[in-house]
Amino acid sequence: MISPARTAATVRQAAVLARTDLSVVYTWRTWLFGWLVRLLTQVVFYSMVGVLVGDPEYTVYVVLGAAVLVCVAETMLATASTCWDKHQGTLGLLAASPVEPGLFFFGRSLGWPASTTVTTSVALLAVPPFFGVTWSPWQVPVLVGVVALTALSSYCMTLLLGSVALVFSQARNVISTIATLYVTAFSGAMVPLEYWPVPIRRVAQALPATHGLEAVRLVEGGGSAVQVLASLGLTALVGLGWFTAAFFSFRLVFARARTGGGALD
Amino acid sequence: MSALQIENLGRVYQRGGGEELEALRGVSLEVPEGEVHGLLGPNGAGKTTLCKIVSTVLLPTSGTVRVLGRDVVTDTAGVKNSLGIVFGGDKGAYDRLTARQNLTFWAGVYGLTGARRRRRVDELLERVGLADRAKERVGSFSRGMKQRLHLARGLVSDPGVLILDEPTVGMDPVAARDFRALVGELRSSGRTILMTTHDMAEAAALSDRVSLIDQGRLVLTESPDTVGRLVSSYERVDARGVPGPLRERLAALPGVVSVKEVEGAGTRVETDDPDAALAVLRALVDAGISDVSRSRPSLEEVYLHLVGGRGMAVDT
Repeated sequence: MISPARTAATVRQAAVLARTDLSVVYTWRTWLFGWLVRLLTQVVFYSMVGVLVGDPEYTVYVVLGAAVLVCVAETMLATASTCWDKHQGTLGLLAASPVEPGLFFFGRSLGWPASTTVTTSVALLAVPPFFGVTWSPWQVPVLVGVVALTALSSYCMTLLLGSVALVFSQARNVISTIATLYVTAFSGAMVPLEYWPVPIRRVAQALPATHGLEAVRLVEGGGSAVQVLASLGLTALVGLGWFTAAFFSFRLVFARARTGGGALD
Repeated sequence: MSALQIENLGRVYQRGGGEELEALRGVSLEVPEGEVHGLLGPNGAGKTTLCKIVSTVLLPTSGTVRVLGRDVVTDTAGVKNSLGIVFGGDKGAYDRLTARQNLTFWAGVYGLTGARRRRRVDELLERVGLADRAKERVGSFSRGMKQRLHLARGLVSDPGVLILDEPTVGMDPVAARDFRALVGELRSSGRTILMTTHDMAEAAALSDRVSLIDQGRLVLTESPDTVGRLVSSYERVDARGVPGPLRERLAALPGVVSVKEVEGAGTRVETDDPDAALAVLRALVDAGISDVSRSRPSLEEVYLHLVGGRGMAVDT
């Protein structure tokens, strides 16, 4: 049993790596004028599809979906950053240390959900008004909260992909690209869930973006607090499920490496 | 109590096509507390596999390993908390972090917090001579500086046992000398150190005892001096101006192992019997050759005798 204090310490220590990496990957200028602009452009691009279709209702549908997909795209970077320790030669040292791998990797890439909470919030608050959506002041903090939870939950899903990428590290970008495409197609961001056959709709329930997006649409469409909270609860629950799977997957990867699997070399 | 107890240790790797590679075969070794133990062997001999098993990164296929009485298979957590590991080479540090941040991170991993952690990090930076560079990113460090940081990291939990796996590999001679001096200082702390190397001089300079490992088997375990004495029967006589017929006569003497021309030393006669060396000397003097020297083998030569002609060659 891992003590809560040790859990918090492990996550905190690993988060220092995340923060440092993020500060090296971006300066505030490159983040603001490079990364953020790139993501906003992506949202505008998808939203233009709605405009071209000529259906104002679908335009709103797409602009919200595209904004929330920023969450998925950015947290998906954790698939690659989970492999950074492998390239730096620190994975073997971690395996020889008393660290719990799942907790370490949770903290290791926390920079992405933190960054994506800001980028997605900006995308969600700034772009939709150009496509016919208006936000009232009370909706702003609610949306930021929904985005933060969706980002964290999506991040947990990416952690599981990261654990797979540790084993197949050369395929890390392929893994994240395919996963992003699946989420884009099946989470209800661009294509309404009702379009898909029932089995796919069921699988879509396991995607954090599906529930986070539903919460955003409820906030935009004047859904009740209970409905929004229910969607948020599902977002959290799904994220917890992914985190649990990732936690044990990392354990499995490390245990397999001990038998000579070689994933840590 | 022995710091390291290794009994009949075996490790088999599965290769493609059902092929098996036996990296370790029945290795048994006891390292008492406070000993600096050198593990010598050519590349591919099984040194790193042994280190990985001792440090819980790899499971043994057979046999047992205990670190300070704790079994590496059944008490993994206990072992992890009682040993430090230092790998050689350029990797193994977070390049984007400063030296201080690296050590602070690892200190946290090993459960140190607050003021205790700060003190420990300061102390280690001072000890390895990186206090002045503590705020610099590790990515800008030289190989030698990185290795000193690795050593500090290995010591961060104040472990009873320290594993140094090829710690000076790739370092320039000055950096390697400085690093050895640091390891030498660790002797006084009473820490047990298992150090793998294929550098004879390094093993002789630092180790209380050395084990020779080859093709996954432990060839012998002795003090560097004893290993030298073990093959003291091996002697060499170097002489200049030895004519061809005399070389043939020397080669025919009982106890002479080889007669060969060595650049800078002239003719080198190797014997496996002290009496043979005397006979060689007598034959040379009788032939009027005065530029003669007799010497004992270095640890490196012992090593080459024991592991054969492969020396530093890589096993495939």
